[in-house]
Amino acid sequence: MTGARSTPSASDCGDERDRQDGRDGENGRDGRPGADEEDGPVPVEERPEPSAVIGRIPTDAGLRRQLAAAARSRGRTASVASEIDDIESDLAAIEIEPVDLTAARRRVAETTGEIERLKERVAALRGDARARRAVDADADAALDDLETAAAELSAAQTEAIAAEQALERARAEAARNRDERRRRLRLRDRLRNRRRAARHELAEAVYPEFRQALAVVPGGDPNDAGSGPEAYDGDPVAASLAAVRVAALDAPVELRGEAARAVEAADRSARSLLRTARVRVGEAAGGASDRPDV
Amino acid sequence: MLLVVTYSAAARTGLRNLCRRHESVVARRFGRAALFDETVYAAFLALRLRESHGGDVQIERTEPFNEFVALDEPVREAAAAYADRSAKSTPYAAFAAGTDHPDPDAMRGREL
Repeated sequence: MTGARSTPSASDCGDERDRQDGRDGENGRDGRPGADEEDGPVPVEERPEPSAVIGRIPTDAGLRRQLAAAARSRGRTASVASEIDDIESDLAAIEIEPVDLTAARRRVAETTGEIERLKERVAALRGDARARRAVDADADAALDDLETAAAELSAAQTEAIAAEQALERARAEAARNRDERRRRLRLRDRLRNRRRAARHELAEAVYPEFRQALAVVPGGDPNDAGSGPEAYDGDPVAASLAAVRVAALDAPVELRGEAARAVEAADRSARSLLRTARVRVGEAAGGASDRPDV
Repeated sequence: MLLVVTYSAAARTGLRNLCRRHESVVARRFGRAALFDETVYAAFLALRLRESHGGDVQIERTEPFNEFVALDEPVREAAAAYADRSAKSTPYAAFAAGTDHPDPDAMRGREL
């Protein structure tokens, strides 16, 4: 049931990574309001194409992600990039068979129930035969039944042993399988941590340029930049526009809503503001239709 | 009690949420595992988690350990004597050699 991307990672009982993971609010999945205990899958995210992060403004991505995407679009790689590649290839090599002991467990339960039933029957028939003999009545029929029931009980006991052994083998197989699942969980946790480290590093690397870009884009102010991505205190749309200006994107950038209005109201062309060859102003810009290459 | 162990982030999150919402059934929580009370309701919750996450949820039933029932006296005595040994660096096998204390390999071969 666990597709490679459908069930993300975790680690061992209460180890350090686990607690780190608990602190990491980046995905916000922990305190999701109204989340039932059946939580949706939280995939280990792919390293996204820069255009998937800042190709459309406004974006849901946090500033750090946007800046990391901008840095990657310019060919920058994080120092942990090769480690990330290694973890990814380790993960890709893991193959996990589904574990399902349901049938084996059910068979054990059924054979056990059958034995109980037959034991009671044997006891009843034995009492019956004994009672008949005590009063010199004909006990042959009761003895025949007793013999049949005893044979059935013996067969059921044999079956129960076979069922137990089958469950034991299945459990041993499941234990090996779970070792692999645990390994995968640890790798995915590590991958998530390294990717976060990579984003931090990349975002820091382009932060000076981001600060300069804020002086150019509409609504931006370099004084809002602060010391790093977590300290940015200005307009989020301006920050996204500045991130695009820092980036070198191949794909067109699509501006919508507030971003479209801000760029259209500026006295410079979108291309010169964003230093991007192709800018599209989306329909959500309040009546402005798709205008390629503004 | 019931030991519930998870093997994916989604299952781990599910267990974490379950523990938060149903504190009363949780006897102990670990990072990606928990011990639940021995009640049908706790088992029901564990089973629901497994229905959601399949092989990424393992449920085991544990029982209290009573060394006076499960073990012979020599084993208990050996454990106490070894904990009380004077040379801290002595491995148990060396400690037991030439004494009446049970041999580690012999103990390994015996089922509890």
